[in-house]
Amino acid sequence: MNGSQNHTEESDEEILIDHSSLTSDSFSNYKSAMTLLSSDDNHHPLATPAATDPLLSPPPPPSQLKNPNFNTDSHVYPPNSNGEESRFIENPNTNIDSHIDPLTYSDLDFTSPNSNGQESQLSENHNDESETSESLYLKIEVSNPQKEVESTSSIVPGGNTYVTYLITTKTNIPEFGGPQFAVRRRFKDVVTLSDRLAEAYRGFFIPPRPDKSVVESQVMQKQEFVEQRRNALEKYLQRLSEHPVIKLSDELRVFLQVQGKLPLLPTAAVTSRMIDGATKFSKQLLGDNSGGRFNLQDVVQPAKSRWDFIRIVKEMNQAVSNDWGGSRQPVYEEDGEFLQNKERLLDLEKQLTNASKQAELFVKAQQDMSETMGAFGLSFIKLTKFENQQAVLDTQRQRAADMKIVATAAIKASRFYRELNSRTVKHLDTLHDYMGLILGVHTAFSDRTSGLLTVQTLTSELDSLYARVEKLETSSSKNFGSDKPKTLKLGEAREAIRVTEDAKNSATRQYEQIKENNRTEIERLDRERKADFKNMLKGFVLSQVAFSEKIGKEWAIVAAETSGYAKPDA
Amino acid sequence: MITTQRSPTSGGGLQSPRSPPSQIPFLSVSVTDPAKMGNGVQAYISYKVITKTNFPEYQGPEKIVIRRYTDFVWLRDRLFEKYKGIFIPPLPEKSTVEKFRFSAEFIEMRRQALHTFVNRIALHHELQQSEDLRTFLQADEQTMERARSQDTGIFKKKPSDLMQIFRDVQSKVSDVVLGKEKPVEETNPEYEKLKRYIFELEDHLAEAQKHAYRLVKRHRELGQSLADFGKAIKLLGACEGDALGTAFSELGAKSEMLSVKLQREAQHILMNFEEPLKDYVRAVQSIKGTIAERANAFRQQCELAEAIKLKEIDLNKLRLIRSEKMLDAEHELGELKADGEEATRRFETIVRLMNEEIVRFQDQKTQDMGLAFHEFAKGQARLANGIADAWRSLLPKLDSLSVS
Repeated sequence: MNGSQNHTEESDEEILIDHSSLTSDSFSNYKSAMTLLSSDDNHHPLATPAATDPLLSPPPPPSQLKNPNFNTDSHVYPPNSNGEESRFIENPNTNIDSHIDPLTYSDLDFTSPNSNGQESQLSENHNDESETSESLYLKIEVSNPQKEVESTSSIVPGGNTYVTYLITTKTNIPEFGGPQFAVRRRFKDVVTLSDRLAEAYRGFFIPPRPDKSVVESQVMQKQEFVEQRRNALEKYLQRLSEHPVIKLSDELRVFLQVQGKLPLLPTAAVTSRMIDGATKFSKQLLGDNSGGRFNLQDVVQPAKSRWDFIRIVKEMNQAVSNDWGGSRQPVYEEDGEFLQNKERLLDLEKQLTNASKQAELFVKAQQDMSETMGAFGLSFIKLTKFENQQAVLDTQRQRAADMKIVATAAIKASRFYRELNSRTVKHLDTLHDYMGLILGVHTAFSDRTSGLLTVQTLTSELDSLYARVEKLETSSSKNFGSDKPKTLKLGEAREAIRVTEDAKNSATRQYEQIKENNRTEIERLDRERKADFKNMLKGFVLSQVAFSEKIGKEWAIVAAETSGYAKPDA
Repeated sequence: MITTQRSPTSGGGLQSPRSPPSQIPFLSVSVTDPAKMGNGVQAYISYKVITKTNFPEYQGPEKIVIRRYTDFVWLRDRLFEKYKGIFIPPLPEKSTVEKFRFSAEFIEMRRQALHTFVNRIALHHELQQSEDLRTFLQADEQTMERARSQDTGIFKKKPSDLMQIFRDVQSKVSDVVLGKEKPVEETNPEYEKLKRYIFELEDHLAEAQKHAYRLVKRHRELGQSLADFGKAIKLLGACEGDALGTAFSELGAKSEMLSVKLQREAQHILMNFEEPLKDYVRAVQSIKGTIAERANAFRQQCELAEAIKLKEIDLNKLRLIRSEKMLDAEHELGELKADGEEATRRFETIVRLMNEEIVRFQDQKTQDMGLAFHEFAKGQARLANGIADAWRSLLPKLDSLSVS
């Protein structure tokens, strides 16, 4: 549905979320990206959380959000951020309630542009970005695509060309330290940003990013493609900036502000770094968080870090006879309210998809009407000119004059239809937007599932570890066929238990956090959707009324002027 | 008498004159009640043709006959042959494909066109006197069938076509004889202008008609998509529940209602605008036939004039040598001269008639199109206002929806 991406956004309050093209490809791309991250959960049931897993740390107290020193703007991932640690240690038992409660938001005086703009939202009166002075906003523009060549030496002559875009941000969020700035980014950077956000904000409804779409460099150079992508990127970034939590994220800020190479780790680099950082788990356990999110200092993916920890355990104890069979643990979701909501949202998705499709067809039909009405009018203009040129009799001139009136009205009507249609596209785009968001919902729900799975996996692993210890304790002092003495093995096993217990506790906290994120996001989605839909309906209806009236007036004039021809009994 | 062309009305209503029957001569015809006859490939539509008249030549005040499309074609061809110079009203196209489908729309459009055709003939001061018309309006089916089959054959061509071929051959011969390469044509500049006008007009009109037809389709498509959209919106509203859900559902209902309006308007445009426009195109094509007739008449006149000249030269030669063939030659010359006068007369009649006809035609078309424009504009205004009203009625409800 690229057609929905072609109009420029006049009022960003209107549409909350990104609407990426909703082909099955994009969804599966996104899904597969997410599955990669969580697949290890499923395949390594005994996966233990890496000590470096930052997801283990609970969110900070709400007050920290206000702290301007909270996020140093220099580097997002310093190996040791002592300041943050100590701050956190002061509050080891921070509430695991999500910071996204209304209280916190009002403390921040944060309001999404949407909730303010909605009141004044009318299709006919396009409002400015008229938020109250207290709200925090981010306005992002993507422009000026430029071709650049990969500087690394390439075997292939001609090198690797790619396109960069100028990303300009205007904001009043204090952490940025300035009202306006710009950076150059390429699409790969956007993918990285999207991946990092997905990991850091599990459980949130994050707008999905634009498609990757495998293209050759030739296609890349095509004007249209670049323009489409530019437009899609702008929409995506704007959607991110409208999400109450993500707009304040480090990842987004770094992306928007830090000059030069993007200091976010792409996925491949993260994995290797994570292996290096595997031994620093104790520190990372106390890693810092910005409310509800999961901080990623050195490591990114809980799954992968668990995998590496398995490696470590294996090295420590070669006689591990655990079950690597990869049996999937069933995940039992108990929360009835959640299940209800999930079903409701699935149904909504289905109906949205259908409505979205029909909206596209309707818009096309309006477009066709406009074009044909225009061509119709033009053909009569030609006839008028012709008759006037060739006229011998007065009746011909009369007819030419009549034709001209009709033709002029038709051309005006054609223009009105076209204008109406561009308004209609804008209004009904809300449907497309919410379809895009629902993709984010799927991800958030699978975050929950995988989170629960992790907890359950760790629980069972813990059980088997306990069993092992017991076995070791009650055994004879004979060796089991390895060189190590029994005490050493016992010590290792007990250490493994300790680590695994910590991991399980963290995983549980993480899972609870995700659940909470889900809950608040569902509320937000429902609230904002109702408002957006109301505006959509109203805008749609208003523009239909306005333009139909205009069209009707034109034709009424023609009808009056040709009424002399009417049949007497008409 | 030339009366203002009355536009065709739909279906069963009979044209009734506004003047009292006995005083002013009138001839009023209507074509009604199409009925499907026969089966399969042989199937055809028959129409009831009702004549009301006080013309003395007619058999009575009212007569009803059954006619089919080919009967109308016969009438048109006869008139075309007999009344050269007059713009014979056009017939709807003979359809080879649609015939088998015989949709209600097709049948009604054809009936309307046939009705218009006969009425125009009946209202034309010369054509209404035609004997063939009387046959058409009154003869029983067998007589009609006989008359029709006289002109039918497997290789049936219109009389004008056959004559055309004959004349082409003839003129080719005489051209060679006379040493001319090109066929003879009038050099009247006004007439040249008229011919060019007619040919170009056809192109312009055909294009306008094409767009008019597309416009009909667009209305139908918009209607359909609005109906589908309305259904989808209703389903979406069911997900929402409460006041918002109700608003969705009402919007969906309005959409479906407007879809019906759009379909109706599409039909209205088709019948009251696109069809008259098509009729205009046909009329122009009919005029092209008359132009061909005039060219033929002119050529004949020229050929005879040439033939007379040659004959006179011959005669003088014969006179000089005092041949006994002289008498025959004189006789032939006399005949040729008579033919020549006849040809000249025929040609001049065509010219005169055409001059009158073109004025009548232009006037008629201004009226026809004026009415068509009026109907079109009326329909569009009605549609647009209907749409505005329907949507406007939703606004109070939407306004009352509270923002969460």
